[in-house]
Amino acid sequence: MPGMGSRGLSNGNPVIVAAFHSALFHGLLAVVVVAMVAILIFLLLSGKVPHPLQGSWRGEPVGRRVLRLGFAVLWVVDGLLQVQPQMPIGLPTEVLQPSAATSPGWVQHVVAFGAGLWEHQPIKAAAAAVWIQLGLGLWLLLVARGPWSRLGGAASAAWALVVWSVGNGFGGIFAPGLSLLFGGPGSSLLYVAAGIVLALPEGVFSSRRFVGGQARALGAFLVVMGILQAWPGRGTWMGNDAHGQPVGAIPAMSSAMAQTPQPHLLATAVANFARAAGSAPVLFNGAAVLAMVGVGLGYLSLRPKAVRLAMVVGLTLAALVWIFIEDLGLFGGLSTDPNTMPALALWLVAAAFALRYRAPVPEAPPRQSRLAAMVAAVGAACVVAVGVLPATVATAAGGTDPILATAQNGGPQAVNFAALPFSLVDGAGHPVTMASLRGKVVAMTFLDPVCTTDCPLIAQEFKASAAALGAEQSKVAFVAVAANPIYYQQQAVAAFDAQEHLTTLPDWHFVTGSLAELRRLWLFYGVEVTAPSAGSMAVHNDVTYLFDPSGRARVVLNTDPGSSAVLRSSFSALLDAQIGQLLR
Amino acid sequence: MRWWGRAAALGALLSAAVVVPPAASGAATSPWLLDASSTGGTTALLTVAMGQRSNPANTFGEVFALNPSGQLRLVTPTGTATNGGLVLAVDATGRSAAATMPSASLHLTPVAQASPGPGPWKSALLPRALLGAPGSLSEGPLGLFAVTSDGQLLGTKTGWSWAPVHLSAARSVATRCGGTLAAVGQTASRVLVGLSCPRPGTWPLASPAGPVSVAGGGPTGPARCLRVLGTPSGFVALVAISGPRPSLVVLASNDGGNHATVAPLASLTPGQSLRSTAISTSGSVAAVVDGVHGPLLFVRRGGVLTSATLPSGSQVAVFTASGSIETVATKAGAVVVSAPSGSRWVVHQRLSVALPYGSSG
Repeated sequence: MPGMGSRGLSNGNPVIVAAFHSALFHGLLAVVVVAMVAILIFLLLSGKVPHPLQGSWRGEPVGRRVLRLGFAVLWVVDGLLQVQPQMPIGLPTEVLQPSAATSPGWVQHVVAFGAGLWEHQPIKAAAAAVWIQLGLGLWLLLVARGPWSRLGGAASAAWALVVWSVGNGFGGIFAPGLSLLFGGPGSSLLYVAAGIVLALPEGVFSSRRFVGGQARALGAFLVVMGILQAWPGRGTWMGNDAHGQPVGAIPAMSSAMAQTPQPHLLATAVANFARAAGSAPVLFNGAAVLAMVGVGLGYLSLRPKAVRLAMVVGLTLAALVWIFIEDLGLFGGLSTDPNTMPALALWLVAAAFALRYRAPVPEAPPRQSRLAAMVAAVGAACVVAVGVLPATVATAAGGTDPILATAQNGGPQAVNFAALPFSLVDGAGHPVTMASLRGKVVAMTFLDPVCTTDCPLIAQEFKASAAALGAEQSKVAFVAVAANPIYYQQQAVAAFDAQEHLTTLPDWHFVTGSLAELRRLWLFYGVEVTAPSAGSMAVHNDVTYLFDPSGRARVVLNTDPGSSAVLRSSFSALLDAQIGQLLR
Repeated sequence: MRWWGRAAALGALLSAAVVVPPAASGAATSPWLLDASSTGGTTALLTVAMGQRSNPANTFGEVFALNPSGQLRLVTPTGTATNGGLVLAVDATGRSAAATMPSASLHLTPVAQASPGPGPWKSALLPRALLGAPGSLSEGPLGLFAVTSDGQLLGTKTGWSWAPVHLSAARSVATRCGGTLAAVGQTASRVLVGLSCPRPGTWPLASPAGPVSVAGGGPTGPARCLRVLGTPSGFVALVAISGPRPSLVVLASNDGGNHATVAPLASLTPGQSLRSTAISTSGSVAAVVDGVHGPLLFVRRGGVLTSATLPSGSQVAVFTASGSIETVATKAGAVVVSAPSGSRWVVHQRLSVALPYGSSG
């Protein structure tokens, strides 16, 4: 309602949550069907009940197995975290945009692009994220060896790369303050690396050059992160100020984490850590730097004892950071993964085990296992497709999910009554009557020609809706009735038409007449129009009536344009859908 | 190079690459203030911004009328949001106009007219955006004239149309001083166009006959005409001169507008800035200047220059129909009117306005 302010959608909007749950339920049905078909195919081809977990991993290099199973579990956890009901609306504003807030403009553009795609189809995008990540987890979990397993690794790397760049703002590597302790350079970058390694031929794990290079890469990464942690001027050596308030990077992060909703025991532990880190920042940061550099040097040395010791120290550091600084990665807002430390821990173990348990070139798995792997991989790919296909089709078709407009304004209301006859003029002075519009579907709204907020937006929604109708536009008339008791003259509606470039619409009529005639229409259609004093714009209901070609009102839509372009686009999609129903 | 040497070199290289300095932020620009008053005949109108000044959606331009006894009353035209502020115009007969500046998604200018003012208002519409300056609208015997934000001059009696006759002379002055249109006014027989002239040496005022002839030399710095108003014998205009010695001067004509004399109103010292202006068809001009020690009032009336310290928070001064002056201060929805009493300012009226917070969100 112009003059009454507009609202946006909350993360927990019940319409959105219900639609998300419905999409997940339908996806679950599809997944069950996929699983049954996969089992049936395997039965038909092999005559046995499949046991993809039994024995299929035999011969798989240990280092590879650690990465595969570990990241499989992480993908499943990530997929389950995506089921949170706040995810469809909350992810762009609470996860994507903050991840790039301090990054350069081009990174923010990349993230904004992803956020825009998500915002236009939030239900399908959120469901897609669930099924893609569960599908990848199942793929890595069930398919142990062979080309199908490597394909799973490649798929995992590809999706992780999307998450790291678009969803994670490149892990903050282009932003100031990058720190391994705070999640940099992004857990998904470690997923990308794991996926790439899993996509390589299994034989590489027999090569000392490869497993040594893998350990050295991990070591170099930790040394670099250690140097960054020690770099002066980045706040890592600072503690509390004179008033005991945390100003250093570590105590500030821990202190912020301690204030998020979480179990009391954990909050107390994290708060105590923040206090301690704030009072002895040199000790804490120095220990972290030494640990990172020391662990890195241990892996770089490739010496078995040094690597073992580095692994133990590294795992201890990862556990402490995960608990006291990253707050287990699950608290502090809309969590999408358990943060960097679990992935780093997997890499510490996998790289050490790959060195320690370097095996001869494995033999090809038996036929039974290859068949099981193929069926399981295709099944897992189908689970991924359950999420990807609807989201891709909807995005490729353009437009916005009408559910957003319904969530904000309520759904369309069915009505059935004859239109009130009127005789008014449009901005050009041409007479327009309800009878002259007979034979067309009529979308009629009420606009204030000098409204500063909603009305120009509603007019643009009508334009977008008309454009989306394409050839069927000729069967629809768009009508706006002047809704301002002071500024309602023909000159005013003509000026509004010119301002909003509405005269290019073939069947657009912004109509007006005597105040008495307008008041008769306002009253009949339940539109309250007032002009309060003291600087407020005129107030009227944002409402649109749809009339069928015989001149009967069939649908009423609340037309509040909302606070974002996405909501406006959603209303246009809803209007189009309703007009389409009346045209059929 | 050993492995640790390579690692150290790689570490230093990558560390240097990711230590990114923060981006510099741009300097803010301050908006032009629309607080102003106009007095013509027995009609005295003032407009002032009220509400939460830090939030444009909750800042409202309000119009008040001062009756001959010095009492203020709210007369803001209804029917449109005033978050962008208002511009007032009054002539010697009391004919008045109040244009609501476009704001948010509106790019048109709703106009309310009254004859004689103030109110009841009759609605009109300028189908373009008005220039955001207190002198961009003129009401008078020749009709309603407006300077638009795209540098055009429009005039009306029955409907808006271009005013090429009045514009051509102004354009020649604008070309000479590298300037743009900034204000409009009218005498009984001619339209006067004020300009903003970045190039020193040219007085920023033109009539259809050409540049207005001003006795003495030209301005020493860039000059901007803030207000111009017809008087019974000619016109009066307020001009701001910037540069190393910023000042406010008054141009006045007593021969129907052919020639003008220049007289100082105020020299602005560092830390002082113009807050609002007041002008009257009797030829009086005033300016409220924000200073380090509070607001100051400079008045030129009947050839006499006076100045005074104003009560804290004073935003705008207004000439009453009898020629005296009052000042108005606002805080949120509260309005305080003060008048001089001896060497002091005495509050003689308080009123409150129910501001429609949240109505333009």
